Amino acid sequence: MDRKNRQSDLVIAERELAFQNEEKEKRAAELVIANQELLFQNKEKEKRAAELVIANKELIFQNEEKEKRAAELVIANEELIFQNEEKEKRAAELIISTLAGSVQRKKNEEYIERLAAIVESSDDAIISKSLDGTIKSWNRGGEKMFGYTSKEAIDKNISLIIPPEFVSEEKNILEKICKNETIDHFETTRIKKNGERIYVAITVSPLKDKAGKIVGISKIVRDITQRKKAEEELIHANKKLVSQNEEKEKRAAELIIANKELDFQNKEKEKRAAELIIANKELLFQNEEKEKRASELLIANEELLFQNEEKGKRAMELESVNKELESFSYSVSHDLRAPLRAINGFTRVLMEDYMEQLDEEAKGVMDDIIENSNKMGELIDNLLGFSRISKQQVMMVNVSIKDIVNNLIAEFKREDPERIVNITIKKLEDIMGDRRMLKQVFINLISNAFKYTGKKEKTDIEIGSYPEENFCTYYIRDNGAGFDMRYYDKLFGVFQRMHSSNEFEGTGVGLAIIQRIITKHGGKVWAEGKVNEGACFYISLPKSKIN
Amino acid sequence: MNQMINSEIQILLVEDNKSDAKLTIRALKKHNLANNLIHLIDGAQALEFIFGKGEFAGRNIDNKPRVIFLDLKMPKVSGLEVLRTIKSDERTKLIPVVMMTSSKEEKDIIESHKLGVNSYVVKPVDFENFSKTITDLGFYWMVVNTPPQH
Repeated sequence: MDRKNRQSDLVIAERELAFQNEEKEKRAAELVIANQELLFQNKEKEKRAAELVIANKELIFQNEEKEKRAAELVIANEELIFQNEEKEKRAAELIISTLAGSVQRKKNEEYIERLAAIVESSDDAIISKSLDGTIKSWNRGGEKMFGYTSKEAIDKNISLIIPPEFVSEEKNILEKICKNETIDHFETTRIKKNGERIYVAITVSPLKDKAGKIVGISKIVRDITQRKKAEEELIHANKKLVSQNEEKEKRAAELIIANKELDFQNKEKEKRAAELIIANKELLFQNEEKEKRASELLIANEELLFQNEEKGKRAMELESVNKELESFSYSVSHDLRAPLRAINGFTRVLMEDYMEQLDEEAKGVMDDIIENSNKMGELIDNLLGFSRISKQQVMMVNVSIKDIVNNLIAEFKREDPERIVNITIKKLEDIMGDRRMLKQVFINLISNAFKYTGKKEKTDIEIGSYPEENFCTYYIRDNGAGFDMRYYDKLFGVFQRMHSSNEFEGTGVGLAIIQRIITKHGGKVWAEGKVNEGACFYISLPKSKIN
Repeated sequence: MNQMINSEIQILLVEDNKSDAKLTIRALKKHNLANNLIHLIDGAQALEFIFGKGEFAGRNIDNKPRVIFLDLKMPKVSGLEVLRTIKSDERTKLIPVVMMTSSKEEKDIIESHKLGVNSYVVKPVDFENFSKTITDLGFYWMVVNTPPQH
């Protein structure tokens, strides 16, 4: 029974282990997959980061390209402005030199006419005015530029084409001219007949009479609205470019930060990946260790199973031996007694039927036959009883030893009422045990006490009990024949006797039966004795445990 | 014996041991209890007799013994098998069966009672006790016990 339980426990434990192992393997496999997934994601992120770095570099490059172009534009612009100014200067110088030439060579009418034709055909407005600002000449260029015909313009004040906010400017020019100061080429705003404002570049020169006295002012006015606009547009475009540049720089800076961040995250992820790889290796190692242990356990288990099988085999062998013994004792029980019964019975028949033919000696022999066959029957019965006890199962109940002892004493007294026996019954505790078996124990003990005190003049028997931790010890003491402690080893053996049958009758099974029963209860039995002074038998039983 | 087959049978003794049989019959005879006794020597013969088969084909099976003294351990068909057959057949289950054996084996006692034995008797070695036991049984089943009327 115990073996079987252990075996099934082992099987369960083995299954449990196998299950845990599978679980661990599964988890390890899941971790490996998770790890691979992380590694993949990491690589993806690295790729994306690398792509971003490239994109960033591309942007930076484009930015630099745009900055270059913007710078080139600025330079081109400056160049244009410079060229423009140069051209204006040269144009003004030409006109002035021409005009100066015309004044000096007044006599040369042809020359003057030609000059007038030049003036007339110029796209620039060439205007002359008196020192008080009255317009004195107005060429076709002036008509085109300002929308006023020469008729409309001549004799009008120059303020005709000067926006109110620029009037002071004209005064300054006049003052400077009168002081004989040179006036640089300048740019300003003028107003057309239709009210539209235009940008103009003006070159001012004094008009002198023959005596060299300044009598008026000549002006060459060029419409630079288009150029100004283009300039403004350029400036604007430039500003835009600059701001775009700044934006792009900002974005580039942001990208650099983002890139650094990505780089940092990447490194973090690499770190984590490395950690995971380490963790994974650790897990793999643990897994291998567990597999090792599992395989060791499997081996151990197989070993145990093998041992178990061996034990099972031995148990089966024992069982078969037991069965043989059982059938042997069964056979003894049935078959050994029958011939005895025949011997006994037919001897009786002889004695009954041939009584008269038999002499006294023959009758005595017949009595011996009958007595011996009876004795053998008794021996067989005891032997069977002894072997039966080994097979019987202990039925644990609460047993009153006190009741058993009292009833038995009364019975023994009844069998031999003449005999004077001094019996002291002390406290007898109840105990858990098989009632029938324990009764058999006390039958044997008490009958022994009665038997072996039979030759004493006075019989003293004491029965009692005392507790001892988890056990209760019962004792029965008598003042009978006792026994020699030298032969104590044989005391509880089957068919072992301390006295001859002539002294005391017996089969030598009683104490062996007691020992069997007490052992089955998980208890102990022992004895003390002294020849001719008496014996004391002890039995110690567990208080509540089943063996 | 053949004459007795169809006359009233009081005791059917099934016993393979000749000595036991002799001593049993002697004890019963001493008290005039063996007048209508039939002795069969094994379980197979007993079943053939009880159910009118084989050797006893044609026997009126309504002629039932007042009691069967059945030895437990016999060759071929054991006493327990005979008991089981008798007690599981409507026609024969009311016949009282006394199991007579040398054995005090607990499992034999329990099995016999489970099968519905009417008495279980251990044969004593001592002839005086044996003789008394047999006589008491004969008296009880022949004289004291009142069988059901059919």
